Amino acid sequence: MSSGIRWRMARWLGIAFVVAILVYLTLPAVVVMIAAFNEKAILSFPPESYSVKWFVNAVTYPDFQKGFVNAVIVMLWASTIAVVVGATFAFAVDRFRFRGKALLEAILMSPLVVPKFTIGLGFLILAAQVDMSRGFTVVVVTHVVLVLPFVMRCVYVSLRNLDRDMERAAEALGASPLMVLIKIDLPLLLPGLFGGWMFAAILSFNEFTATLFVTGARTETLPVAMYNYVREFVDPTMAAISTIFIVLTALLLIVADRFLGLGKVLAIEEGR
Amino acid sequence: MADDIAVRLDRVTKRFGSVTAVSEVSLQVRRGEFLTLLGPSGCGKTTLLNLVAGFLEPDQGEVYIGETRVTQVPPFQRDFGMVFQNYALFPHMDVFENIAFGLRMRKVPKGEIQSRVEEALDIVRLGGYGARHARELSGGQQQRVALARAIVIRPQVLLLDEPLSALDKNLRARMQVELKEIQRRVGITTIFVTHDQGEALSLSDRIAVISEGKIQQLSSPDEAYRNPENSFVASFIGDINRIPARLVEVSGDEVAIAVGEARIRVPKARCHASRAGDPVWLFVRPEVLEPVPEDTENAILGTIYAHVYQGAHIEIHVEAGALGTIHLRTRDDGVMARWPVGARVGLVGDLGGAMVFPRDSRD
Amino acid sequence: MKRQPFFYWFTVPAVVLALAFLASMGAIIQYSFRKHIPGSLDVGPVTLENFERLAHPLYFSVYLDTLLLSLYTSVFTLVLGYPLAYVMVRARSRWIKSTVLIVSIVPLFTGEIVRTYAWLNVLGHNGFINSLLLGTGLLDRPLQMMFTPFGVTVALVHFSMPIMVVILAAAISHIDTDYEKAAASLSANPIKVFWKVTLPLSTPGIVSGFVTIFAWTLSAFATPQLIGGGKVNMVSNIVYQLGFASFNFPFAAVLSLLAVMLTIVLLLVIYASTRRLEKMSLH
Repeated sequence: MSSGIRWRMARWLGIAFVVAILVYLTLPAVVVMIAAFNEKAILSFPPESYSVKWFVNAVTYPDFQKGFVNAVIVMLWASTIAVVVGATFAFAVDRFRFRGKALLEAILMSPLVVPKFTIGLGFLILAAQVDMSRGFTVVVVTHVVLVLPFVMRCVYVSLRNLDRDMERAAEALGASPLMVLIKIDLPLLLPGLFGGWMFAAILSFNEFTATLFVTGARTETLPVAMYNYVREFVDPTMAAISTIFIVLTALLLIVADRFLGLGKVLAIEEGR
Repeated sequence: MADDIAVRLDRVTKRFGSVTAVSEVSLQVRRGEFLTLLGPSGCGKTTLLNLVAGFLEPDQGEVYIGETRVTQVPPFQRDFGMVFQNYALFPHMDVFENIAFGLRMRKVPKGEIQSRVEEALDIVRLGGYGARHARELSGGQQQRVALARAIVIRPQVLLLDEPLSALDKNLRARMQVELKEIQRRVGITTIFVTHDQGEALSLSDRIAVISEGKIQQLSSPDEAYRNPENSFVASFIGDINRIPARLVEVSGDEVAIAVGEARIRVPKARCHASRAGDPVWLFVRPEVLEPVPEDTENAILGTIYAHVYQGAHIEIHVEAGALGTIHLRTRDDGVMARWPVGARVGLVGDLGGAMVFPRDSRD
Repeated sequence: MKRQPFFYWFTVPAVVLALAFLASMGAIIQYSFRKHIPGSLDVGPVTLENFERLAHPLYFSVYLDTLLLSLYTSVFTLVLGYPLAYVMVRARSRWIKSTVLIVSIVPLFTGEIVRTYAWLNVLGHNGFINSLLLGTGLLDRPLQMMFTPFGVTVALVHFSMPIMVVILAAAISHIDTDYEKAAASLSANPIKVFWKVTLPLSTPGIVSGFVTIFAWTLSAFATPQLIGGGKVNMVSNIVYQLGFASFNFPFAAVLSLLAVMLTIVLLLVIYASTRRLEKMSLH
């Protein structure tokens, strides 16, 4: 065999390997989407007949409806609070030296590595002790803690891209620090803040493990409702709602990507 | 007297950790003058500018703008305009809003803002560009918007932080002329920071040559070029040869120095070393030297090492043993044929403008 | 900068949140030293008996299983993630790059439940793979993939892939292509260039990716819960069971603490190994 042919074969093998990995990554989503349109309640491939009735079932199922509303409530509160906390803190970290800065930063970034079930259990016990275990507060606080590291990273990226000379120029023109913040920093950081808010919202809406620990019957979010559904039923209603989930998430990601390049945010994911 | 001083630094020192960026600098900038802070990167010139602006606070010393002591005053309460290296035009505002920003911060009435911004745009020859976005402008135009933004507030002093360095060469030359012209027309006191000695020579009324946190020389450009006060200034301004030599004799109004085998006479006024036997540096501009046959009396000897054709002139590099490489510059094309690479050559010239400075024997 | 005292208020929300988080961790520590009262949510006096219970071989084997599953997962994620990251960074076509990026990243945001449920459809008794194999006559009996470590690993690898790809891509994109060109100019063939230049230079990313996935998998919950179905248990599943089936929060707290300790040890390993790598690259 000539070396040219060998190289071409190696190349094709490499391509085939990568394609196989991509198939592995997309397979579950594709399978779930097919399963969602299966008319029969029992899983089968390929489905014998197709129907959208499971979608109807999914969107009219009361637990899912309530879970959706709860998840949205938690998401809006958690992501908004996380953006305020994350933006102010990232700004302070970027601009000032103060005592305990590194410690505070380490504490707030640590939910990236502390097991989620530990965080969930911790807040569950804490909430029980202060008698708040059945309300939204504990769920929202848990979510803020979990999504904050991601928000902080988004804000750091925007801060790093902010030319400090912009602030100096404004100051030279007579803008007080507060004015610089309002007229220069805020507008220039806005896309980054919005991107961070989007990421926080997506992560919060999807959060499951810690949420399972801290929600009660009244505050159950959609992922928890879905988990309970899978444990009880086997029909494709879950497949239908998963499909909706996947499509919505992909759309949200595309929007988030518009405001703050995904690549940019993720390239620093490595962090420390 | 204080009336015609726009900015005054009084024994100002700024340290960053263990590094002293600016060391006991005193400087008075006259009203209406164009003063350049010139020096290599890291010499402290930008620190000096930031001390005037208030972006940095001195560890010691005082800063005055006009008659007001501003040492502890934050930048936004000082009265200066500034043009940044990358212009720092606000990307979320159009040209008009960029220029109006300082006026709005000063709560100037609306109608007056309109007319003053338009006037500023006219001054920088960008009339009608108000609605444009900074992104849509060329480098030169952005530069002019930045300038308009800085002068529209009619500050006591205009600070320019290497504003031309982001432009390409041709544009830079054009903007130099324009900058100088606008400055003269508006009559604004200007402090200009650059590492480009050409820029400094062509724009300034006075140049402060800075090295290691100190002002080495403060004088007119012509004076700095012709009559440098020390070897740093001599080597920094203009192209110059620095040749190791030895002071042999001081007699009358001339000194004799030994350069290799050659004996050379230099006016005493141009020699900053005093004792016979001292090691010295001889500073000679390349255009002063000319090639002669090697047997010429008192010529510096060497070998032609390379010809570098540069269009308007030719540079000849001469390898002169322990003296190092000596450059000469000529407009005469014939030189390349008469003195081919490898030829032995003697160097002579009118050394009335040469400079002699003491040399550490370590150098 | 010291002239702007109002900026200090900027740290207040962060401090409040950090205190809440610390309080929750404190609650766990406190519970781990309290006596469990069976059948009650309240806890009794201070005791060490929760820690003594750890000695039971059952818990040892759960931790061992968890560690093994994490090990398999990080190895396979690395092997499959590297080619993806490489293609994502080095492919010439923008289209290929963004396809790989989207395919690898989107799963990160679709949540554990959706993804795990999707794998139930793929691996299940009547699932996609079994239907495919039976339908084409390759098999005459369905494969048992649910409730096996294999099934759990397949789903966990899928779950971890986005993070791994992102970490590796960052590392690979920091390698100057001139090194590769230089090696090629010295007549190293593409495979040699990869083994001798690209791979060694991406070691920091490999180490950090491996350990991150390891730590990440240690705390997996939904995947072993649903695909393991009680037959494959990880620490998280036992903690959940203890908390919500037997209300033994003190012992759940002990197991959680141990998991946090394991994570901390892992992070120290990352720290030590990256330090070592940095030193190596300096010499």
